[in-house]
Amino acid sequence: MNVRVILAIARKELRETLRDKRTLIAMIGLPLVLYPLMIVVGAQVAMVHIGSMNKSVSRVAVANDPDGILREWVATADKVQVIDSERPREDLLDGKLEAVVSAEDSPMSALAEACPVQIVVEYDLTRPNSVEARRRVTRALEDVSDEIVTTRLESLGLPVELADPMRIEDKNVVSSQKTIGAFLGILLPWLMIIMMAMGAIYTAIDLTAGEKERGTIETLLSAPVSRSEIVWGKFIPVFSVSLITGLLNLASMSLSLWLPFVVGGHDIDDRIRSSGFTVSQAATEYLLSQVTIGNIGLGLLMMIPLAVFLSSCVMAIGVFARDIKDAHNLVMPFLVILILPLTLTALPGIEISPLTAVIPIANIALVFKEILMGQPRLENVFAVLLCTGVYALGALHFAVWIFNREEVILSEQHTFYLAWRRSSFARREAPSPGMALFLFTFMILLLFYVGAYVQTRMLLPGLFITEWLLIFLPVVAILWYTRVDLRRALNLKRPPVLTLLSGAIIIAGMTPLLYQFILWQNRVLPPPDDFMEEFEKLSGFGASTGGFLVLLLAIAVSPAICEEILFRGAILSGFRRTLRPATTVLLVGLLFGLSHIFIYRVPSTAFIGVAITYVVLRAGSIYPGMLMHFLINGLAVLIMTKRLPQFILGFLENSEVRGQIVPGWLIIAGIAALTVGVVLTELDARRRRKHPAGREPGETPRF
Amino acid sequence: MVEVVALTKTFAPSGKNPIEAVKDASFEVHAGEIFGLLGPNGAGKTTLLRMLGTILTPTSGHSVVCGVRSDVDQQGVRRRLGFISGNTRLYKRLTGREVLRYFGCLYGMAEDAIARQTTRFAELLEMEAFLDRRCDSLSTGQTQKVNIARVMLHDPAVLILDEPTLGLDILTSKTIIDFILDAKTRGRCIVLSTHYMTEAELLCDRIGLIHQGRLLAIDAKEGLCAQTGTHNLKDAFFHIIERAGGVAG
Repeated sequence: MNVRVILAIARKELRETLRDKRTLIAMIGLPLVLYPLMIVVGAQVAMVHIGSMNKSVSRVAVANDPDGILREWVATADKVQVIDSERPREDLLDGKLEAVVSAEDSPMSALAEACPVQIVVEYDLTRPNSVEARRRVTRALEDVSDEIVTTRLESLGLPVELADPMRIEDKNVVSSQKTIGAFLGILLPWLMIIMMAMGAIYTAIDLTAGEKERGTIETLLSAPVSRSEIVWGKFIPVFSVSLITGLLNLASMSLSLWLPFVVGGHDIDDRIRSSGFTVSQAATEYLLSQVTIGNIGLGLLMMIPLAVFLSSCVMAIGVFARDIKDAHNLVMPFLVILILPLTLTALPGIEISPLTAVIPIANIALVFKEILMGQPRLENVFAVLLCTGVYALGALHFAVWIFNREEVILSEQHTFYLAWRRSSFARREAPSPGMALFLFTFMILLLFYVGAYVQTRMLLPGLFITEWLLIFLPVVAILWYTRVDLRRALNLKRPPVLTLLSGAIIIAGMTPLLYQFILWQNRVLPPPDDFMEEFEKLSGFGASTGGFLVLLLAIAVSPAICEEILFRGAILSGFRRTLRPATTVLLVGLLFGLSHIFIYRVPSTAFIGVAITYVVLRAGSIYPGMLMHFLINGLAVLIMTKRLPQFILGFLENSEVRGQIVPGWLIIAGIAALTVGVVLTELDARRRRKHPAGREPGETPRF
Repeated sequence: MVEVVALTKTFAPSGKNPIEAVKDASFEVHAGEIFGLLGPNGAGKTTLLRMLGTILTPTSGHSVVCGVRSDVDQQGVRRRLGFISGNTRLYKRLTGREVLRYFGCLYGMAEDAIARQTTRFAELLEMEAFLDRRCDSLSTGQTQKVNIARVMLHDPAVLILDEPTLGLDILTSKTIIDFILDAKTRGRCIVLSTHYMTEAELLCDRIGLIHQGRLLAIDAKEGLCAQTGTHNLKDAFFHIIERAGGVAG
C-alpha cells in the first residue's frame, strides 16, 4: 500500500466532505446549537414547574370527621386549603382535589382511650401536585401527633425525651454530586457514542454509497490504486469526522453544563435543595472535580478506538449498499445493534471486566463511565483498546473484501434479491455462509426469547421443546424451503467406522481436561445459583429408572441429534466451502459455545464444539459428531443422577479436598487419549483420501 | 501494444440466467493506431473496454498492455492506460483543477508535473474559463473535456475511450476528435467504442464489429467492405450481422 496515494484520497475526500452542507450541519451545527438549547429550555421548564408547584395551594377535603377535629388538624398544614366536597373521591380522581383525608373512627374517643387514631390520606401518585399535598398534610398530622405525645408525657410528669429514645442521623458518604456523576457516567458515553456514530454515518455513506450513486466509482477504479488503498483513504476522513463530531459534542455539552454554573456561582448543595435546575451544575462540579489531565487524556484516548470502530463498521455497510437510500436502510439495523449493548451499561452492577471488555461499544461505554467516576484502571483501558482495535480491523478488512467484489461495487441491482417463493431459490448442495450465520442468529433469538421462557415455565418439557421445536424443526424447514439438498448439507452420510471410534476416544480424552478446566473456571466464574438449582431439580427427577431414561432423552439424545443437525450439519457445510478448514473448525466451535448463552457454559462447550466439528469435517459425516455429543452429554446425565460407580462419584465429590486439581496421571492419560483420537482420525482421513470410494471431492481437506 | 487474448465475461455465472456479455474476444492494437469497436447498444462494447481497463475481471482470458499482463499486475496495466466511459463521472464538489490534481496524484505524478500538464491541457482543450469552477456547474461538453484531460494528464501509452463523443455538440465533438487524432500522431495506441458509423469511418484504422458479445469481424473499413461486397461501413455492418444470424437489436 502506498501511503502517498492513501493520503491523497483522504485529503480529497475530506475536502469533498467539508463542501457538503448536510455533513457540516450534522457535524458542527447540531452539537453547537443542540446542547445549549436543551439546557436552557430544560432549565426554564424545570424552574417554571418547580416554582408553580411551590406556590400552589393544595385543595384537600376531609371526608369522614365525626368530631370535626380532623379538619382543624389538616387546616394547620402549610399551603393547604380545606375544601368541602360532596363526593371527595370522585373529585380527587377528577383533579378537583389534591388529597382526601378521613378518620376511621372518632379521633377524640380513640385519643381518650389511648388507642392510635386511624387516619387515611388518599392521593393520586400520578399527579405531582397530589403527591405534594400528601406530603404537606402528612407533615402537619405528624406535628399534631408530636404535640399530643408531648402533652401526654407532661401530664404524666415525664420528660419529653422519653418518646425519643434514639436520635438517628444519616450521613451519606457519597455526595449527591457523585450520585448524579454516576448517572451522567452512563448518559454521557451514550450521547457521545450515538453522536460519533452519526458523524461517521453521514460521511461514510457519502463517501461509499454516495460515490456509487454519483457514478464516480468507476473513475476512481480506473486509476492505478488498489482497493485497500481506496478503503483506507476513505476511512481516514470518516474517522476524522467521527472524532471531530465526538470532540465537538463533548466540548459543547461540557460548556453548556458548566457555563450557567460558573455564572451562578452559589453553593451547590443549597441549589440542589432549592431546585432541580442546578442538578446538572452540581453534576458538572462533581465531574470537574474528577477531571485530571490524565483522565481527560484517557477519555480522549478511548474516543480514538471508538471512532475507528464506528467508522469501519459504517464504511463496511456503505460499501455494501447500492446507493445512499439503500445505505440508510442498512444502517438502521446497525444503529439498533449499537444501542443494544449500550443498554447493558445502564444496568446496575455492570462494570468493566474481562467479560464485558470484549463486548463492542458496551466496553467503551463502561470504560468511559469508569473514567467519569474517577477510577479508571489501566488494564481495562488496555483490554478495551485491544478488543476494539481487533474489531475495527475486522470491519475494515470486510470493507476491503466487499470492495474487491465487482458485483457489489459495479452492480446497479438491489443488494438483496428479494424473492420468497420456494421455486425462486436455486437448488444448492449447501447453504451459503450468510445463510449459516442467519440460521445461527435466528436460533439464538429463538433460544433467548422462547427457549428461556419455556424452560423456566417447565424445565423438562422445555428442554424437549427447545431441542426439537426451536432448533431441529426451523433448521430443517428453512433448508428445505430454500431448496438446499438436505442429505448433503447435513452431512447425512454413512460414517467411516474408524471415526466413530476415534471420536469416542477424543471425547474420553477431553473429559478430564474439561473437568480440570471447569474447576478452574469455577474459581473465576462460579456457576450461577439458578444453574445449580436446575441441576438439583433434574438430578432429583432422574432418581428412578424411568426418570433417568427421560433425562437421557432430553439431555443426551435430543441435543445429539438436533444441535448436531444445526451446527455440524447446516452451519458447518455453510462455512466449509469458503473458509479454510482450521478457521471453519474454530468458528463453528465458537458459535456452538456461544449458543449456550450462559457465559458460564460458553468456554467449555466451545472446546467440545471444536473437537466435534473437527471430527465431523474429517469424517465427512455427521454421525460421529452425534455420537460424541451423546457421549459427553450422557456422561453429564450420569454424573447428575449419580449413576456412576462409587469410586468415580467419590472422586468427583472430593475434588475440593484435593485443591481443585485433577490428578496429573489422569490429565496425562487424557492428553494421550486425545492424541490417539486425533491420530486415528487423521490416519483414517488419509486412508480414504487415497482410496476415495464413494467420497465426494472437497471433503476431508487438508489442514 | 495492446493484446487481447480470448477475453470472456459472464455475469452471474452460477445464477439461474448467466449472461455472456463478451465471448472469446481477441485482437491486437499497435502504437499509433486507432482501433474502433462498433456495435449496437448492449453488444458488449463497454464490458469489453471495462475488462481492458481492469475495472472488471474477465471470467476467462486476459489482456496485455505494454507488456504487462492484466491478470498479473492490474495496477501496472492501469498505470499505462487512460480510461473514459459513460460511467466515469467527475466529482461534483471539486473544481476541474482539483479533479486533475487528484488523479495526477493517484497516477503518482509530481506536483509540478501536474501543474504543468494542467496548464497545457487547459490551453489545448480551451478549459481556462471553467477549470476553477465546481464540476456540478459544468456542461456536458465541459465535463467531457475535463475527463479527457484527466486521462491524458499522465500521458499514457494506451487510451481506452468508451463512446467519447456521446451526447456532445458538434464543436466539442470536433475538439475531442482532433485531440484523439493528435494522440495517434504522437504514437499513442487508442481503443475506442462508438455506434456512430461516420465517426468510426473517420477515426479508426481498423474496426472490430461486435454483436451479442462476439467479435464478428476485424478489419480496416476497406477490408470490411471488400469482404461483404458493399460500399460503405453501414451496409457492411448489416451484412455481417445478418450473416451471423441475427438483425441488430
